[in-house]
Amino acid sequence: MAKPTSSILVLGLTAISAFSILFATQLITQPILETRENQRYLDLLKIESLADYQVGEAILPTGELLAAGITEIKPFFLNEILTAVAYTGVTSGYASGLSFRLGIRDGIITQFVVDAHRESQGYGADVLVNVPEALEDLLIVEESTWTASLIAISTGSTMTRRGIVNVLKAIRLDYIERVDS
Amino acid sequence: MKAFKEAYQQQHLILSLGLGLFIFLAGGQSFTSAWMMTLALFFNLLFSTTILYYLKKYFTEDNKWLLIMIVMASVATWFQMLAVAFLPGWVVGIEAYLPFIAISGLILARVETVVQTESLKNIFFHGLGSVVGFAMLVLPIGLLSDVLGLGVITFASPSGQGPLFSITILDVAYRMPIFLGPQGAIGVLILAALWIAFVRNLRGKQA
Repeated sequence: MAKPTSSILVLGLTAISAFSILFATQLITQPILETRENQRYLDLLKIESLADYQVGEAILPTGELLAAGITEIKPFFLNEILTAVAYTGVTSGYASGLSFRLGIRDGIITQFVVDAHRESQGYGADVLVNVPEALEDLLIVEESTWTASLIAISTGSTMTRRGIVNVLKAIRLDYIERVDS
Repeated sequence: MKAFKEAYQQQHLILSLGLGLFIFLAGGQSFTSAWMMTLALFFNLLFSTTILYYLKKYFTEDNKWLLIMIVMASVATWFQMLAVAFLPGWVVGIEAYLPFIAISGLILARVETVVQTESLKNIFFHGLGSVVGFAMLVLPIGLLSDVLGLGVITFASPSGQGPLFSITILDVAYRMPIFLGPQGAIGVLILAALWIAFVRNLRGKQA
């Protein structure tokens, strides 16, 4: 009878030890990952420090925003007033899988970052290089301004532009709704 | 050294491709991914087999495989957590695949036998031989994926602050998307087939 008990005991002790080591590792690595994540938001929103900001919980989009490819919305508040929003998502240009992040602070597009894409070299891929600069510092509510800015840099890559414009339209409506509420 | 040679010969090329297909496909997408997967395999084999070596006296028919699975899954997850935190530049695109090393046949096929039959020193050399065999397959393919898909020879910085070096080899017009990133599985398999044929041909000529 001693043998089965010992067998289970060894199994239990091994599992507990493994769990403890993984838990301790998580305690060490979690702050590093959070700091890195915060730094990404600071860069995206062009904020020096998050010290004065209240960082809202990440929101999972629904409805038109979800249909447009937005996967996460992160709001930032200053004195309980919505000041900045970071949007993350994946849209389709000529090909699917155009992964991006967009930062808006005080109604102004701070940055549009393309994390990954499969657009054609020489066409959409070349346009994507210029998109961040074309959108930078434009007001998100002024649809005609950023549409014109995108048209000016995307000759021959209509599908790529259309994917970005669709996303921006959905974000614009969401942003206006959030600020109003 | 005998253990190293045996493991290297068994692990090399075809066995890596057959049993370790999953981690091979993930590692073969770029030179950096190949390096990271090799590193992960080395640490996983080293830690898993060493821990299991000391646990083997407690092996019974009832708990042996459960112990092996707990240790291997924990070591793989542990390594993934550390890699994501401290080597973000090297794990881009493959971080989700790192724990799957635990279930890769590349390890499962040998851990039980090796742990139960070899000395600790031989276990180390056995692991090293397996890793060198795997690296011989995955590193050249990762390099070729970069060259043919991206047109560059590049290696990422472990901190994720851009590449350590990047040399453009091919003009945009000559780059082939079938070798590019996670979608390049078919390209990776073609390269593996060509590489294996090349090495076998070379070995045949030497013999």
